[in-house]
Formats: sequence, C-alpha cells, structure tokens
Amino acid sequence: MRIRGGHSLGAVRGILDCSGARIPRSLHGAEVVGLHPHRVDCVEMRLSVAAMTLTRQEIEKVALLARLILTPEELDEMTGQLSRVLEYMALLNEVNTEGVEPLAHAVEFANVFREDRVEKSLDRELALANAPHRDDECYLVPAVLGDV
Amino acid sequence: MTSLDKFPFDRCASKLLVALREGHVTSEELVQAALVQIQKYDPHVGAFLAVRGEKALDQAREIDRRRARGEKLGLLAGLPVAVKDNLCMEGEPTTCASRMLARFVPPYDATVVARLRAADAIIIGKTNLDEFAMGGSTETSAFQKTRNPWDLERIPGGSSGGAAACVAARMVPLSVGSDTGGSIRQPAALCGVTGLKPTYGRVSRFGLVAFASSLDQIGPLAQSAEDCALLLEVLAGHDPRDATSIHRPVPRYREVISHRPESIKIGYVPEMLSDGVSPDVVRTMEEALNVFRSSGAEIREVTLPHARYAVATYYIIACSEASSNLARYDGVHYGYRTDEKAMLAELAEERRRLQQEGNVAALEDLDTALVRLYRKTRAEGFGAEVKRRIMLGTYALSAGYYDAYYLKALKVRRLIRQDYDRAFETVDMILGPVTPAPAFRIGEKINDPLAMYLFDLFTVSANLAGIPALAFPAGFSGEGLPHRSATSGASSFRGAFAPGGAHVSAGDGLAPASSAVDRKQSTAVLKSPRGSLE
Repeated sequence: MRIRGGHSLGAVRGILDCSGARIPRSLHGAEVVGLHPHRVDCVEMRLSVAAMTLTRQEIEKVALLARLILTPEELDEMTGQLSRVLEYMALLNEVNTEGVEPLAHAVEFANVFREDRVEKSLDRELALANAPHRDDECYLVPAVLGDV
Repeated sequence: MTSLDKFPFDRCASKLLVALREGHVTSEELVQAALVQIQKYDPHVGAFLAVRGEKALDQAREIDRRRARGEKLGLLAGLPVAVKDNLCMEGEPTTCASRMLARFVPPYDATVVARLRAADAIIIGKTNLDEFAMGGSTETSAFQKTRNPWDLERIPGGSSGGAAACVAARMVPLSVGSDTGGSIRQPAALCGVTGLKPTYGRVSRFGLVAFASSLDQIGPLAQSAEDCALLLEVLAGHDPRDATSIHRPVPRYREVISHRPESIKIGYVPEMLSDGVSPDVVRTMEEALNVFRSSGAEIREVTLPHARYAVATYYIIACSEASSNLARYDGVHYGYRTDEKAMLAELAEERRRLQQEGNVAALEDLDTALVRLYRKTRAEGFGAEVKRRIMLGTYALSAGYYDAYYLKALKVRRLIRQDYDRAFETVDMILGPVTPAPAFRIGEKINDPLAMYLFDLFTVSANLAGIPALAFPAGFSGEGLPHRSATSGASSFRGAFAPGGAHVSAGDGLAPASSAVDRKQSTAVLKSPRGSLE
C-alpha cells in the first residue's frame, strides 16, 4: 500500500502488521512509539502535525460518510476551519499514554440489563405522529431498490 | 399581588415556597407575575423559544385549588420554572433550536420533566439554546439570539443561554439546563446566576436530546446555591430508562447545604490564574479565595498537570459522540425532511447529464435516492456549527484515525480524571474561574470556531472526569455548596468552581448589588438586575 507523503496515518496503519512483520521506526513523519497492549493489528502512533492539513477530497469523503452535502463555499470554509482545529488537537502528542486504559465513561459500568420481557411500548399512531411522510402503518421513503 | 415586591423573583425559591404555603401569594399570582415580566423583557432578552401561558395559568389555578383543599403537594408546588428546549416535553414542541426539529412534538416526557410535573412545578416555557447544545454563546440557535440581561450587546453564554438569562432577568426563579462541556456553568457565570452540573449519572438523561452521551448532564440554574440544591433534589435519582444513571440514594440536598462543615480544604490551581486569563478574572478569584479564607477555609495549591489538554480531549470525544448521536436525524421518522420531489428531480437531472457525458465512474458513485434524501435533509436541517462538529467527529472516528484521535483522547481523559482523584486526596473542593475572560460581544467569535472552543478551557474537565461542578457569582459571602467527601466515585459536591465575576450574589437571601455600586464585573458593568432593561 502506498504511503502518501507526510499524511494519512490510515494508510500507514493499514500496512503494519504486528504479528511478525518488520515495523519501520519512522514513516513520513509518523513515528512508531510502541505496541498497543490489546490490539495486535495496530500500533500506538504519534500524530504528525504536518499531516493535519486536510485536502478538499478528504473533506468530501468525510461529508459523504456523515451523510452531509456541502456547497463549494462550505467545502472551502470547512477545510480551513477543520484543519486549524485538527492542528490544535496535535497537542495530545505531548502526552505519554503508554499503558493507560481508555476512559469511555465517567462511571465505569458493565452492561446494564433487564428481563427480556415484552413491556408496553409506544402506540403506533404516536410513533408515526411526527413522520414527514407516512401511510397507515409505515414511514415512507424513496425507493431503495430498482431504478429511481 | 399582595405582599410581594415589584419583582417577586428577586426572592429565592425557598422563600417563595414559604410564601405560597402560608398563603401570602397564590401560584396564579406568581405565574401571572412571571408572564408579565416575560412579556416586558423577553422581546429584548430573547430567552424563551416558547411560552405556554394559558396552560401554565390553568395549572397554577389547579395547584391553588388543591392547596386550598388541604391536599398534599409536591416539593415545588406552584413555582414557575423554565426548561431548556432540548428536554422532551410531551405534547409540546421540542426544537433543540434547530430547523431539524422545528416541528417535532415528543410523544413522551423526559424523566426530569416528569419529575418536575410530579413535584407540581409549573413549566412556563422552553428556553433558547445553541443548536443541539453545540456552542458557548447561544448564537448558533437557528431561531433567535438570546442577549445577556446585564448588557444586551453581549452573549448570555451557552449553550443554556436562555435558561440562564431568564433567571438573571427575574422571569422565573428556577430553570433547568444541560451541561456537556460547561453549558450550564458558563452561561450561569456570564449571567451572574448560580448553575450546577451534577455528578455524571446523578440525573437521568432519558428524554434529553443527546449530544455527547458520556458527557451530557442535566442540572439546575437559580439565583442561589440553596435553590440549586432544592431543584436538584427534584431532578436527581436513579432511572431504569437511563443505563448510565447511578444507583445511589439522593441526599436531602437542602439539608446538606445548610450544614456548614467545621473545616473545609479548598484547592486552587495556580496555572489557572496565569497567562491567557484576564486580570479581572484573576483579581476576582483572589478576592473569592480571601472570602473563603476569612470564613475559616484552608486554602491549598493543587496541580492538575493534564488540564492543558482538556479542550483538545473534550472536543475530540464530544464531536465523535455527537457524530454518532446525530446520525438519527435522517428525515425518515420525524423532524425535517427535504423537499422530496425537488430532490428526485435534481437527482434525475444529474443522472441524465452524466449519462450524456458518458461518465461511467461518476454514475456509479452517484447517490441513490435514499442517500440523497439523507444528505439534503441533513444539509438543510443542520446549522454550520452542528455540521462542523459532525464532520470533526466523523473524521476522528473513521478507519485509520480512530486510534490516533478518539482512542488517544480517551486515554488522556483517564489521566485528567486521575489528576482529580489525586487532588481530592488533599482537598475537598477546587476553586477556579469559569471563563478566562468576561462575556464577549455578540458576533465577536462566531467566525472563529477554535477561539470559541478555547473559551471552554476551565469547564470541560469536570465533564471529562464526571465530577460535579458549581458556578456561582464570586464575592459570595459564605460557602458555595458544602461538600461531602464521598467514599468512592463522585457522589456529592466534591468540586466547585467560581466564575470570575465580582457580583454580590443573591444567594443566602442577599440582595443583588444596588445600582449605586458600579463595579466592573467580569461580564459587564454591574447595574441593578433591571438596570440594563429599563
């Protein structure tokens, strides 16, 4: 897999295989600092500040993933603004997080369960009440299969 | 109106409850007074998105009737309260200040709304916010700006700007807001009222429109810490419908707060008073520390070494979670949907053009109708700041970047939490500024997202760590909230923050500073609460 210069940690990650392959010490500004304790298919990577300038193409891809559509003006503005914010995020490079467990929630819960028992749910009419487009039973959307 | 002042809501809520119980005033009179105040000042302040005047009066009359019959009433019986418009209220529009939900009417109550109803509080209206609670100035609301009652050219703060402003402008004695990165505390500070973000999990999030699920918390805003305690008692408690809600009995906060502890150790972080913080704020912090010192508290220095990473950590986590939470707004089940006919026509036209050009690759990549429905709906329904955060979050979570951003941020989050755990071994409370500078002018920062985000530097850590935090006007003569050192986790008020404002608070029944005192506050030139509006 080709590594784009000074960019795309994703591409770098894709070719690294901790289970045996040789791991390069440094790749185009992304420095390998250690192995993740739990994930054998990735390494702990240090963000490269230089890598944080987004291309318009990447923004368009992210917009598609986010199910948004941006005007050319919005794309330009967004590219600049997000690049600036991401550059700031590179501050986290300074923190040594080797061996630190991620904290996803302030209160560390295991799964909270209830009995698998049918309980009263929302009445269908209430559930459909805010629908932009509906029939007697369902929400209506443009055809998913076949030709438009 | 019998024995009430011209502005009944200068009194604290508990005194109003006594007045109601002893028959000095009726609930109908209180609600009427609130509506008059709203009618007079809200055209200037813009705190409310919706006011349910007639329903509130009907409810008030009903409470008065039940009281006259000697029936048992709820803890807040007869008091008008305001609720931020990201909390679902059955049968009433809940818009989150977004075009996406402009006509959304929830079929259920949020748990906190149900608790308010059970306590016989009278919900007088829904307050303005930054769109989907994303912002620190209430400027990103799709519908209206809210202005700081102390200076109408300035922001009230955000995202619970409306909730803070309506209490500051004496429209209601109590309001309910939400806080993900400071959204209760910062507007409370900038509007000179008191606001609390409880311990994560203390108040059920069921029915709160989700922004960042591991950070969001609902909490009270009022003129005093005592009133916040009263409202918190109503809001707090385990809820089986919120899997992150904690199983711990709710203390009688009203009693907790009335007990002054014999000794209290208050920590402060010297770095918080250094570069980047306005001299006004520093001076006010030092004054606040002196007040606590002279009332017997022991003041100690503490360190939070990872505090400088809090904003970056917060925004990665918050935006990532937001991108997931806001994926539900697709125009299918509820909320805004783009004009389908126009969308299909546009798509058909694009397809025709590409077919004519013979552009096979582009044709393959062309959106399906459903995907185009999602994309246009969301592009039209969301404002710029919401889109920015969704984009940031989507990027941070995407394959290849997840570890570098999101996972990294979660690890730094643990380090931030550990800093607090360590600090709380030596102190009971940490005092600090809420904002690095006074309230800025409307429009000043809206085009600089990063500058806006950096304004949150003092508030986001409490959300990341899950600890409770209180914003109260500095110069408060007496304790903010008494603390309790909990056995584990974060049960009671172990952390508190003071805003950089030299405003003599209305807590403990003290009257707000009179107009004779013209002191430079960290938010605005201080006048009497009505000063800016008359």
